[in-house]
Amino acid sequence: MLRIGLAFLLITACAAPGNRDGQSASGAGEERVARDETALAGSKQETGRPAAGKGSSGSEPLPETSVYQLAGEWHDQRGDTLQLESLRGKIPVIAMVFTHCEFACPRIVSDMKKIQKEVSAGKADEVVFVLVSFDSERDRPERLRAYANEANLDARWLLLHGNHEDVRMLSMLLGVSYQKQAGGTFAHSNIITLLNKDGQIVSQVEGLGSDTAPIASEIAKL
Amino acid sequence: MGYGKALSLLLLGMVLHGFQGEAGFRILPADKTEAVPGGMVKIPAGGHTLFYDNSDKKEVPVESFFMDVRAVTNAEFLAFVKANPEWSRSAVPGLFADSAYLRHWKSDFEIGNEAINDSPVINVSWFAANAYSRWKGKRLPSLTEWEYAASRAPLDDRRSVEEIVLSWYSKPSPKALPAVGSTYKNEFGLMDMHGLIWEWVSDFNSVVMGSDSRNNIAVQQDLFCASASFGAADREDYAAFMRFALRGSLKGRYSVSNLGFRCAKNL
Repeated sequence: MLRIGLAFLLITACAAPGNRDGQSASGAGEERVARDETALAGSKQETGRPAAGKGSSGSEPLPETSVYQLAGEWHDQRGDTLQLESLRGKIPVIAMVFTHCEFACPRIVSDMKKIQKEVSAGKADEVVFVLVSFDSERDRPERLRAYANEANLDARWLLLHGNHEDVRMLSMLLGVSYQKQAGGTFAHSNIITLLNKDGQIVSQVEGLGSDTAPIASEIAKL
Repeated sequence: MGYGKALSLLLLGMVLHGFQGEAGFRILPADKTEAVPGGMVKIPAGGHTLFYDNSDKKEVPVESFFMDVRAVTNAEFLAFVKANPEWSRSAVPGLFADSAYLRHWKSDFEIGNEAINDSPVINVSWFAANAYSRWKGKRLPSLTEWEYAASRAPLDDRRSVEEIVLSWYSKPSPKALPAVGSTYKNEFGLMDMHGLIWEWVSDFNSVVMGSDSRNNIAVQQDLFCASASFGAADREDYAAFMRFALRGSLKGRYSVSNLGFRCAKNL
């Protein structure tokens, strides 16, 4: 264990030298200036970029930090195709998992169920619990539907399948690391993310069995 | 059916299976005479042992792919931005690039310093690098592909890869980066894999370790398993360690002053 601890320290300590002219990678961009969102119009599918506002049927343009700017089509457990932007107006609680996961993911789901219980009746209809799978090969809609049944997930849960690239991009936006292992499982970090109605990250809980109360209380404010 | 017969059938099955596997491998398009796209080289299939590998297998197989000989330059990236103005400095949303994005350029569509036209583009976020690659009909190399490609020995430099990297780390960044192709060429025909810039890979966030892992039981378990191989692959590989440490500190929207990219492509 000592060696692992040391590795962490070294990782932390060595992360900076990559930026040798003094710019700290971890601090970069936090002071980003707000930019003109009207410049975002126009779809450029070929560049892997979504079009802000595309398909939003005349509503306000998305904020520039909205996760919904990510294009890409997802498939849910009912077999429907959707874009993340269709969640606009709802209050999503999102985690990334895979259904063959035996240890961590069931605990993430149980943490999210805990949040579901803590949500006040007044907000319950607005909140949607989203599980996005790392496992693009195996977690197709049928499998997701079976998993939703097994895990007793009600109609307020949305289980999503996407292609490798979209899953990878979403993981970057949510700060989730993952790697496919030999044998088809995934090593991954465990993070539950709360988005606001425009798809911006409001709050995150890391780890398993963490205190989920902050998420529930943030939901009450949205 | 007796045990003996069942066993021999089982063995026969295993032999046949193995044989088929072998034969199947040979039938693979060994020389499909793929046209190599301009500016790229074909990287042969092989295996690579990652410096930090948290999978069960030590050596990761790498399929053959094409890779850019050189990193993408400022001039090349400018062409992309002009064709896709939503990727210009003032238009790109903060979700996809931080405020340091292309900050060494004079303006949205102007590099403003001819000396760096052919230098590798830096201060580009992962999302921008990924979008450029798509625009070119290419993709970013995976972490394993990049490490595999970069592990090859220099052709025109007597020093080992390790020596080149360490001497690069020890020098401060020059004010203006040299042009692409100005350092060494490796056995795969790739230029500047070390010694010029750091490079984005498609799955830079695939190494599950970092500060957030500390209170994360599953990951710690995983790290614990991996810790056996941690350092075993290349105990001395301080250089690789640095690359993995850098990747672990990145986010997709970060634009870093010596981090650029090159593209890969499937055969």
